[in-house]
Amino acid sequence: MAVDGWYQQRSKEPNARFFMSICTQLPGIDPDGSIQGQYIIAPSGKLVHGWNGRDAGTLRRELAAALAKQRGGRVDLAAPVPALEGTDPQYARAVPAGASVVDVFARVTQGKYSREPDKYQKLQRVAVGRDRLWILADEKNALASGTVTKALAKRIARFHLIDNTRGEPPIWSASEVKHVTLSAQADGAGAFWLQGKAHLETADRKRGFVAALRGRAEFDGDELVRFDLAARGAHWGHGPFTRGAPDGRFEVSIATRLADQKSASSRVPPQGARALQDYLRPR
Amino acid sequence: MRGGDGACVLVRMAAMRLNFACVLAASCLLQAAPAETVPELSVATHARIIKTVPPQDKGYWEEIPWETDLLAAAKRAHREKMMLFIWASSGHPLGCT
Repeated sequence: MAVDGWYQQRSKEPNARFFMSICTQLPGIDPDGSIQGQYIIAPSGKLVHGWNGRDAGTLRRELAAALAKQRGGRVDLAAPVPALEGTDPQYARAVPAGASVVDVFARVTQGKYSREPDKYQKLQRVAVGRDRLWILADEKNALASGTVTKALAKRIARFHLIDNTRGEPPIWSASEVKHVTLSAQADGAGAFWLQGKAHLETADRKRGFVAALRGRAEFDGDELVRFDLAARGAHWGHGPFTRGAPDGRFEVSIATRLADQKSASSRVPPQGARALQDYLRPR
Repeated sequence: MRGGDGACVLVRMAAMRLNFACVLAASCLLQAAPAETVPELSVATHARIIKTVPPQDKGYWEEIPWETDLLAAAKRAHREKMMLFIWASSGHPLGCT
């Protein structure tokens, strides 16, 4: 089971209330602070083991300890799952009807570091950032006739031209988009080359990304069957949760491909969809 | 000669206005144009980025059939008499970072 704590802390829907009842059993957890962690529970929601760490050895030990408890009859597996009801549309994030989900991957492909990395920074320096892009039904229709809508171009620029390789990234605000273009050129029936450029930069100029874009979109009838967008450019700076970036300017490369629309990860909303209306209709 | 001086003043004023207009035009251009740009991506570079940026193989974590509906997962665990492991992070574990 995998959850985004951000939604759990805000939503009033049953899953979020159930999760908050679980994580607050862990001593020292502040429900308004970080609730990141690993939790092993009985179906009733009673916490068996809980911790917060990235170490694989700890994970193995905690899983083994919980299984030993279960084998020893110290975990009540028969207690019922609580009956919780209600909805909270404010934090519901289903894939919009008719939208396509596109996987987005990012890597730092060139950069210099002045500091020796610790064991996690070593992993981060070669890590892949992952997210999903939603392409809405009307945007697909426009693309099928050779038009990249402004909304799609801005959504890609603001929410997906980001360096998310070391943690939760800041997205670009509307005022930080200095320039973005993305246009389509037909290349046979139902096939298009996309080309564009983007310049994103904070007001204090401490973080920015200047990138070129090229993509390939293909349709089978009305169905979008390929959306391979590549972006590459010079990035500088970091966000509060993405420290450890290379020094100065470094190269970030981004690639997209149509997601397996039935996979569990394709149901996970894009990071930028926390601000849903801004994500769907970006300024 | 005074008439000539007057003509010089007029010419200077016209030149100053022209300079002022040029400065205005230049500043408008600077605001409208992107401050920085990078070379376009070729078809070959596009192909290389699309091929090399996504992971080449599935990670072990991707082989786990993750559930994303907590209550539904708890009900399944209850039916199958199992415990439930939850991975929670700020930014969804299945695709933020």
